Amino acid sequence: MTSILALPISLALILVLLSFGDRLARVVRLSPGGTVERLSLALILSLGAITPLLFALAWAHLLNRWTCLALVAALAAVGIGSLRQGLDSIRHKSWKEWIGPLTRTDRIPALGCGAFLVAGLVMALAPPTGMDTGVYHFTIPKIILQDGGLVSRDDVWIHKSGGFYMLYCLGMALGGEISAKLLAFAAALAGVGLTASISERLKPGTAWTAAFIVLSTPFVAGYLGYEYLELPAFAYSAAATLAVMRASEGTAWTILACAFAGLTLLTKQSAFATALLVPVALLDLLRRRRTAALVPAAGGSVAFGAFAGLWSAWNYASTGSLFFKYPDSVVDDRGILSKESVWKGAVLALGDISTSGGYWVDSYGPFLLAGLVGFLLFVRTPSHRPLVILFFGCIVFYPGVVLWFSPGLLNAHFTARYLAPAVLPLGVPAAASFALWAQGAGRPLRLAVLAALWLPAAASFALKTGKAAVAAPAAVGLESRSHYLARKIETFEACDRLNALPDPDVRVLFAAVRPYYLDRPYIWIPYIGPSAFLKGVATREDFLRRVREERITHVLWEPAPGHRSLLDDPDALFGPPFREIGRWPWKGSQAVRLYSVDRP
Amino acid sequence: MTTQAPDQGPTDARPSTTRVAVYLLFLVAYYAVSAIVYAGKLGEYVRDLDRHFQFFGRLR
Repeated sequence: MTSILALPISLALILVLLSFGDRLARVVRLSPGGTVERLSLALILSLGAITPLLFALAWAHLLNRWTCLALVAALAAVGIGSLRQGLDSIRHKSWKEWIGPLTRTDRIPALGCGAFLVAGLVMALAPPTGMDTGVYHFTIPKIILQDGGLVSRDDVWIHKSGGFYMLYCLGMALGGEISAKLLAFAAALAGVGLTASISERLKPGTAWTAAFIVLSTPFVAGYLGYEYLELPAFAYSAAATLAVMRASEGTAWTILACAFAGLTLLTKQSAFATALLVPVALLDLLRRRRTAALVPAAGGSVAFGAFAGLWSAWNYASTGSLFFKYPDSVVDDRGILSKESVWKGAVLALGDISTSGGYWVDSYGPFLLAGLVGFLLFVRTPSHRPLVILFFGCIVFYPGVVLWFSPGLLNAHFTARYLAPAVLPLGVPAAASFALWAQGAGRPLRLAVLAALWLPAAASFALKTGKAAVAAPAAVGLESRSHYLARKIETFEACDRLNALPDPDVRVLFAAVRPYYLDRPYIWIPYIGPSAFLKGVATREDFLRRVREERITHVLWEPAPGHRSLLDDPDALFGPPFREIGRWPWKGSQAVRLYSVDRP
Repeated sequence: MTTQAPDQGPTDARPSTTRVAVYLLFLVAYYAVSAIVYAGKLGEYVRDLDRHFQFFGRLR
C-alpha cells in the first residue's frame, strides 16, 4: 500500500488509539495533564493495553486483517466519547492553541523540533530500509501475519522479545508497512511529548527546550521515522518515568509505572535499565503508605512481571526455554573475563555513553552530559534531584549487570543505544533546566550554552535531512517502492526476481542480511555467527545434502562481515548443481549472487 | 518520589567567575573530544551515504 493511502488509514488508527487511551486514563482515574502530556500518555496507554490482546490473538493463530479490524472497532466503540471530544477540539481549536503559547525562548527550539519532525515524517512515509528492520523488526511481523500467528523458528529471531511487533502486525494488517512505520513514528512523538511534559512539570518553560534536546540527539534524530524498537522502548520508559513522578497522586500511577517498565522490556530486553524504576516506585509507595501499600505494590510487581515476561511465556510453551538461545551474534559467550577486560569493558561503556558508540546513532550528543554538568554546577534544584540520581544510577546499573551476565556485550559498542530509553527521560529535564537558566546568565555562558546546544544539533539535522532528501521522492509517491528499494537495498532486486518466479515450490536458502523483502518460503542464514542450517555441515557434500533435505530450490548469497565458514567462498561452494542466474553489485568489487539448484 | 511543586528561580543567579570559567573549560575540552569521535563516525556514515548515492547513477 502506498504512503498516500496508508496515511489516512494510519491517522484514523492513531485517532482511535488516542481516544481509547484517553478513555482508559479516565477509567483508572488518572487526572489529565496538559494537552501534550494527555495525548502522549493516551497513545502509550493504548499501545500498551492492546499489546497483550494482539499477543493473545497471535498465540492462538487468529491474528489477521479481520481480527485486527474487529479489535480496532471495539477500541473505537469504547473510546467514542473521547473520539467525539477530540474531533470537536480539532474543529474548534486553532493550531496555536494545540502547541500552547510560545515565549521568546521557545520559538527557536520549537522551530528546530518542527524541522526534525518533518524530516522524520518523510522517513516514516518512505519504504522501510533500516538494516535491523529487514533483518527482523519487520520480517517477524510479516512472518506472523503470513502464518496467522506466532510460529517457532530456529533461523529467524522470532524468539527474541518483540512486544512492539504486535503493533507492527496491527499496522501492517490494516494499512501495510507504511502504517506500521507511522505507528512507530507516533510512539516516538509520544516519547518526546512525555519527556517534554516531565521537564515542564519540574521547571515550567522548559518543555520546548527539552523536546529539542531529545529530538536533536543522534539517537532520536537517527531513528526517527525508522522502524526499529529503540524509540518505542524510549516512549514506554518515558511513560514509566512520568508515572513514577506522579505516584503521589494515587496508587494507579505506581502500578502503571511498573507496567510501563515491563512494556519497555517487552519491547526491547536490552533496555532493561528502565527496570530500575520498579523498585524505586515500589519503595516510594511503601514509604508513603506503609501497610496500605502492600496490595498495590503486589499489583505493580505482577504488572511488571506479566508484561516483561509475555514473550518468555510463549518461548517456554514453544521451545521449553524462557530465553531461546540463538547463536547470538552480539553477545560474546566467553566465560568470565580477566580483571583487565572487565576494566576495559567499563571504560568502553563510559566512553560510549559520553561520546558515541558503534554507529553515529549510538549517541546522546554532547549536550545531555554538558547540560547535566551545568545543572549540577549552577542550578541543582531539588525537584530534579530524584531523576538526576536515577540517571546516574542507570549509568552504573546497566554496565554492572552486563559485566556480570554478558560481558562481551560491552564490546559491541551499543551501550549508549541500549541505555538511551531509560536515561533520556531522566537526564533531559535537568539539561533543559540548565539551558533555560543559562539564557539569563552572563553573556559568555549564555552564548557558550547556545553554541553547545545548537552545533551538535546542526550536525544531526544535516544528516537527517540528507537521508530524508534521498527518501522524499519515494515518500510522496514520485518514485516507486521497487525503484527506491533497488537503489538502497543490495539484495532487493534478487528478492524481486525470486518473488516473480512462476514456480509455486520455490524455497530459498537466504544467506543474506535482510529477508524482509522476500515473499517466498525461506530458511535464513544470519549474516553473522553460526546458524541452525549449518550445524553439523563441515564439507561441501554436507552442505549439498542439507540443501536437498530442505528442498531448497534457490540460494541468495550476500557477502557477510561475520564468519560463516563454507559460505565465505562462494566460488568453491556454488559449483554444479548450483547455477548462477543473477548477480548484483554490492560493495567494491563484491556482488550479491543468486543461484538456482538443479534437481537431481 | 513525589511530584513536588516546581522550584521557582535559579539556585545560582550570579555564578562565580571561577565556576563559569571551570565550566567553559570543561565544555571546550568535552566538545573537542566529542568532535573528534563524531568526525570518525560521520566519516563512516558519509562513506556509506556515498555508496548509496552511487546508486543514483544506476537509474534505468
